[in-house]
Amino acid sequence: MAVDPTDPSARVWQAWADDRLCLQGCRSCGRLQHPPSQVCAACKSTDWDLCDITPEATLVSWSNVHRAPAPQFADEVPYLIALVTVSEGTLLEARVHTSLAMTEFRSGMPVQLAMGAVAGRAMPIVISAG
Amino acid sequence: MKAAILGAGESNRTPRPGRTAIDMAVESSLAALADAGVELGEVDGVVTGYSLAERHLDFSASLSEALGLRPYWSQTISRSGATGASIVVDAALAVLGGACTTALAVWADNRVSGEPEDMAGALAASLNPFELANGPLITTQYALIAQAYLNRTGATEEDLASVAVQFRKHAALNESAKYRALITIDDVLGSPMVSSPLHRLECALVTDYGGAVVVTRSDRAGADAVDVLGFGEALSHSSILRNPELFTTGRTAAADSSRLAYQMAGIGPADLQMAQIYDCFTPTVLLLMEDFGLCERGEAGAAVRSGLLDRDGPLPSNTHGGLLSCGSGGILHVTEAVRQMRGTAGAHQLDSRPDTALVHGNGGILGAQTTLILGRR
Ligand SMILES: [Zn+2]
Repeated sequence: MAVDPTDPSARVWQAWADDRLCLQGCRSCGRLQHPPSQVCAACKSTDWDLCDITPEATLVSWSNVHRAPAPQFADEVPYLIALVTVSEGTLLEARVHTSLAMTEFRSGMPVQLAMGAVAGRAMPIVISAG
Repeated sequence: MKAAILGAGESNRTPRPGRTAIDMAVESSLAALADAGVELGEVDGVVTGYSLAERHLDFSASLSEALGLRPYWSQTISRSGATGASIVVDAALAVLGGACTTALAVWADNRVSGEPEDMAGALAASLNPFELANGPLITTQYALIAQAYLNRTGATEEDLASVAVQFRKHAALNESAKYRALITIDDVLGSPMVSSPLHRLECALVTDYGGAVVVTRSDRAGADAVDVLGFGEALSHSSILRNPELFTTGRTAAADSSRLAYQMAGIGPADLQMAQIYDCFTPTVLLLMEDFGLCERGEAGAAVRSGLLDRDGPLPSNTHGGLLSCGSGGILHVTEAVRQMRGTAGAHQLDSRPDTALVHGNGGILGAQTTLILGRR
C-alpha cells in the first residue's frame, strides 16, 4: 500500500522497512524529532523531511523485560530494551542485540546502531558498544 | 472564593461476576452523599472518569441516569492515572464558574469483574507505536526512568523497594486494603522481576474500584468540610522519548503542577501535614517527592527509608496503602485524604487529623500531573 507522504510516522516506518537508518528532521530548525509528528516541538514548523542519522549513539538507560506484553514477543523473553540519544535531545528506544552483559552497561556509554528487525518488523537496534 | 469537599465515599472493591463499573460508581456516589449529608436531588453537576473495562459513550451520562439525575453540568474526563485528582479540579472549576452548585466527582472501573477481553490492548494505547514495536510493558517505560534515576543519583534498588514496604505497613491497618501482610525489602527484591529494575511488588495492583467526592463552593460548606485551597495541572508529554528531562534531571511536570497548587494555596511543602501520592510504581513516588520539594533531588529514597512518609513520621503518606497495596484508582488518594481530614478513616485513622494535605495524580508515563492542596477549616 502506498505511504501517505503527509504522514510522518508512515514515512519513517517505510524508510526503516527500506533499510534506511533515519528519523524525522525539521527543515526549518534542523532538529531531529522522534517519535515523529506533524509539528516541530522546537520551532512549530510543519516543514519536515526524513533525515539520515549516523550509527553512533549514547546509552541513556535500559531495562530487561521478563514478561511479554503481547504474543509476538513471548518466545523472546527476557529481552533487553535500551534508551539511547542519537543527537542532542533526541531519544530512541531500541532493542539491544549484543553479547555485552547488562552489568557492563554504563550511562553515557557510546553504542552503535544498525537497522535490524524486532518480531519481524524493521527497527533500528543497538548492535555493539563503542 | 474556594471550592470545598463536603464528603467522600468508596465502593466495595471485592470482585464478583457481573459487577459493573456503573454499579461501583453509584455505590460510591451514594456513600459520598451520605457522608456529606447532601440529598441526591441537590446534585446538579456530575463529572466522572473513564472505564477501561466497560464501554460508555459518555460515562457521566450513564451514571447520571443510573442516579436518576438531570444535571446542568456533566463531563467525562480521561487523563489516565491523573483522572482521580483531575475530576476534583474540574468539579471545583464548575462550581466556582457557576456551571453548577453541587457536583459529584466520581471514578469507578470494574477492571477485574469486567473480565475485559482486551485489557492488554487498552493499556498498550498508553504507549507510542515507535515504543511498542520494541515490546516494552508500561512497567518497562517506568523502568527506563527508574534505571536512569539510579544511574544519576546513586540511589539503590533497596531505596525503590522501601516505598513498597512503607505503603504495605500502612495497608496492614486498613481493613479494605487488598494486601495487608507486612513485607520487607528482601521480599520486594525477591519477588519476580517484571522489567528491571522493577519487581512485581513494585507495581500497582489491578482491582475493581469506585470513589466519589461531593464538591461545592466554600461559602455553602460547613465546619466539617475540606477546602480545596489550591490546585495545579501540567502536561509534558505523551511519549517519554519526547521529554529527555525525565532522564537528565528527573524533573517532571509535577514540579509545575505542585508549584501552581502551592501558589494558589499560599503555602509550601514545609506546611504539609499529609500527602497522598500516586504510586503506580515505586520510582514514581521518589521522582514526585523531589518535584514537590519534599527533599533534595536524588535524596527521596533516603527520605523514605528514614520514615518521612510513615504514618507516625513527619509527613504521613498513602495512609490507605496506595495503588501498591490497597487498590487501583487514583480517586482513592482523594477519598483517603478527605477521610483522614474529616476523621472518618476508621481503623487506620491517624492519631491527629491533618490540617493540610497534598493529593497528587500522575497520568501516562509521568506525563500528565495534577496536584491538589486541601485544608481543614
Ligand atoms: Zn523545527
